[in-house]
Amino acid sequence: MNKLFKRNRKAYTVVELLVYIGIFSLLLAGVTAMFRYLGHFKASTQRLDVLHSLRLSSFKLSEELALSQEFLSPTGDEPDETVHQIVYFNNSFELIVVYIQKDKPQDETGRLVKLNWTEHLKKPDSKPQLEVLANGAIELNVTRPTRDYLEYEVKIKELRPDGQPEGKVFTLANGARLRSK
Amino acid sequence: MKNRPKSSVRSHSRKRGFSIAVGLAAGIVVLLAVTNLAFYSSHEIGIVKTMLNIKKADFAAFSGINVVNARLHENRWYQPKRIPNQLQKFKSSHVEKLEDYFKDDKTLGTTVFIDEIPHPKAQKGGAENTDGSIWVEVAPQKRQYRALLDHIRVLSLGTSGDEKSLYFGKFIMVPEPYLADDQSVGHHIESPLEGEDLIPIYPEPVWDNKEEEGFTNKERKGVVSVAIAPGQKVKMGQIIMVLKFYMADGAETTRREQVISPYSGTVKKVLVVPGQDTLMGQPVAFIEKDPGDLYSKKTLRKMVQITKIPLSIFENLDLNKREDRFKVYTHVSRMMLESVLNRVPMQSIRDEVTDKFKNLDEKSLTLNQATDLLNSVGKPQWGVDDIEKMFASLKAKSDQNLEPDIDVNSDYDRIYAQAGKSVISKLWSGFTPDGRLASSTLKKFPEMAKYKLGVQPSNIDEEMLDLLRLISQQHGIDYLKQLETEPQRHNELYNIASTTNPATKKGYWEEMGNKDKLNNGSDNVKDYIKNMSELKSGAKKAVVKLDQGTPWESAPFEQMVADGTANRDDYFWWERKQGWYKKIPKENVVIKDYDIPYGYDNESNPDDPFKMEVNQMMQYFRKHYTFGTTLPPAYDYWAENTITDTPQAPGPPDSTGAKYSGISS
Repeated sequence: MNKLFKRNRKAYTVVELLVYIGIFSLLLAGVTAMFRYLGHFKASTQRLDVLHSLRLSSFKLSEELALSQEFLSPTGDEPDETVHQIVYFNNSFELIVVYIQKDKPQDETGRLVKLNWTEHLKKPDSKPQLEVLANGAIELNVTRPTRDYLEYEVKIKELRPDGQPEGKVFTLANGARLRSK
Repeated sequence: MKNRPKSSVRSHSRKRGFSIAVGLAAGIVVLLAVTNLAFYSSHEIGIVKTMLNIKKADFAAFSGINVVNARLHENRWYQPKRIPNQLQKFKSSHVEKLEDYFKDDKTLGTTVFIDEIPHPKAQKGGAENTDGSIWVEVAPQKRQYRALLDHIRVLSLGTSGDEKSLYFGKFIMVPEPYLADDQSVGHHIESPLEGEDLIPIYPEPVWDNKEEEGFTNKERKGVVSVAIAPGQKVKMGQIIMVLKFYMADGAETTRREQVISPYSGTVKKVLVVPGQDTLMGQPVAFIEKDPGDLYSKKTLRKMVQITKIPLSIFENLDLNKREDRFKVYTHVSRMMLESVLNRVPMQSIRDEVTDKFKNLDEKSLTLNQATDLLNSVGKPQWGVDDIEKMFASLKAKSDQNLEPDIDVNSDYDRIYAQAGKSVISKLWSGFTPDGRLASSTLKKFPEMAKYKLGVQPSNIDEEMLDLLRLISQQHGIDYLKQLETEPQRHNELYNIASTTNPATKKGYWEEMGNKDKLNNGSDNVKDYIKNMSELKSGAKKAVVKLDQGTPWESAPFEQMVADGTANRDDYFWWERKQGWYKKIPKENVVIKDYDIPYGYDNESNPDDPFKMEVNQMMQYFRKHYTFGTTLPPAYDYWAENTITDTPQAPGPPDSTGAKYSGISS
């Protein structure tokens, strides 16, 4: 009986090896899957970050629009008309333009920016100051269903670390009603 | 058993160690993954919750403004109800947590902070009416001086969880209500005798003609004739009765006083009859003013300048302390100043900017495209080279509690005044009153307005006109021409149609705007409001003092001339009176101009016509953009002024001598 259990353990049997390889492969597969999931998770988190910054910018924009003095564009003459810029006088009667700015017209994406033109007019020698609301912006669609209510929709595309567009397209819609009237 | 090789024991233990290591590593990886997942999930949930709380706090704060606005339209609920002739204390500030509005969400709350700001010219006592205070009658023969409330400042703090949001609002009221009161409705301004629906009419004070007749009885006058009866309609300036004077010894004189009605309306009571005496200080009649008259009991009230205050401004302040609240007000006053100063230049490019973007199909723009587009619109003019310097200077002035539009020598003040005028004209052109007006009524409301002069056509009494003709010949001055008023020359000025667009300059706006320019334009807003709301020389009052002695009938006069006791050249014959009267010097004839205010009259809603003085409406528009003091008051309460006085009869005091007076309008 002892002889049966007497083994020289300097080597493994094929079966043991196969078992080890199998277990290791399972573990490796699991870990790999986990890392891949983490990678997806990271990508999702990045998307959420992008969406979050867009939501925050949209939140601030709608707040400013609600307290503005007057909407200039869209004019509201036709409730169904869609334009691609928001032009308004903010609470301090400064002229603000929100639009998608691209470095080159042929670029796939640009930045959703807010330009305070009145500030620039007061300091004509300096460059116009832009506030970037969102990167990777594709489209801005704005409608004005009533004289005191404005709706806008922003589409953005997720960007790679090198700044090139890649991945999913996000759309965020919001509205603002003039409170000062 | 003794010969069991050692290696089997070692390899057995190595296997066990390897498994643990692998298991440990896998466990750590799983733990990291789960932890990250949990972290990012909670982070994401946290972000969403924070944003939700910010939004909720925002709505809670804004709701607070709406609640206070609705309540103030009823009354100032935090003040005690005013009890006349009692000394009471009225709050200058009030803090209240709004309960019962968010019953289902205990994390949500709203606290409102209210500060009452008295009129900047309010006085606790004084001998004259000022812009900021007014005499009112509190008891027969007694008047009281009451200060007015300019506006109410409201801060509404909304909290949701750890987030908070603060909104500011300014509640304006025109006419202004009394400061020491619980009402937000404006005071009545048509009479120095406040609170009366019936206007008493008093005789004028007695004067002496000592040289000719000796001392006059100052306690009573006799009633010669009464031209009115209860229920009768009278016009402003109409003679309603004639009184006679007595000497101190009770003898009658030939001097007469014509009592005139100060307003158009209906006679309600006549307290004297011909042949009776009336005591000085007692009214002789009561009239009720016409409802269609210039002044109105409406009050314009609104919450304006609603602004969100950035967290950085108030997060380290204790809003329960008034001095901290006034730090927030300093921030708001600067914002309002900037808003007003930017308004005119930005409005000048408004239409062009709108047109440029209206026709733009581009979905995106480069920076150069955007700036070229905006540059093509043209440069708006602020009127100064260094705009930043102007802003800084006016902000500093505002911080020192100085009005930034009254120093006509300052370019900056003129620019601010110009901006203020722009705000007023814009608000005026689109004005509609609060209330449940149908949308069709709202649309046509601005076009339906009419502007009615505060006086309607009236002429001086025939007897006085006759006298003036005679005196004109003596003095070589055409007094009748001097009496001609602006509306008598241009009848259309009595009632002018409205305009809805100041830019087109039609109707009232054109008339008054041209007059403003003819008066060299008004540099400050106060003069602008006066020029736009009043008609210069809308009415004239002529006063002729015949204090040159007793008039003579023909026979005695001829005797006196024959005796040499009278010089014929010193007298003139008054055919109407059949008597010789001593000529009067030029200084005894005074013709005084009066600027008459216009009233705004709109009957778009026949069930509830809107009528108000134009001056008051313009003050209401002015309050939309001005801010007022940034200095906190030094007191927590104010009490009603207790100075009282015996009222004078309406009208200026007279000097000695018999007198004729009349109003031409």
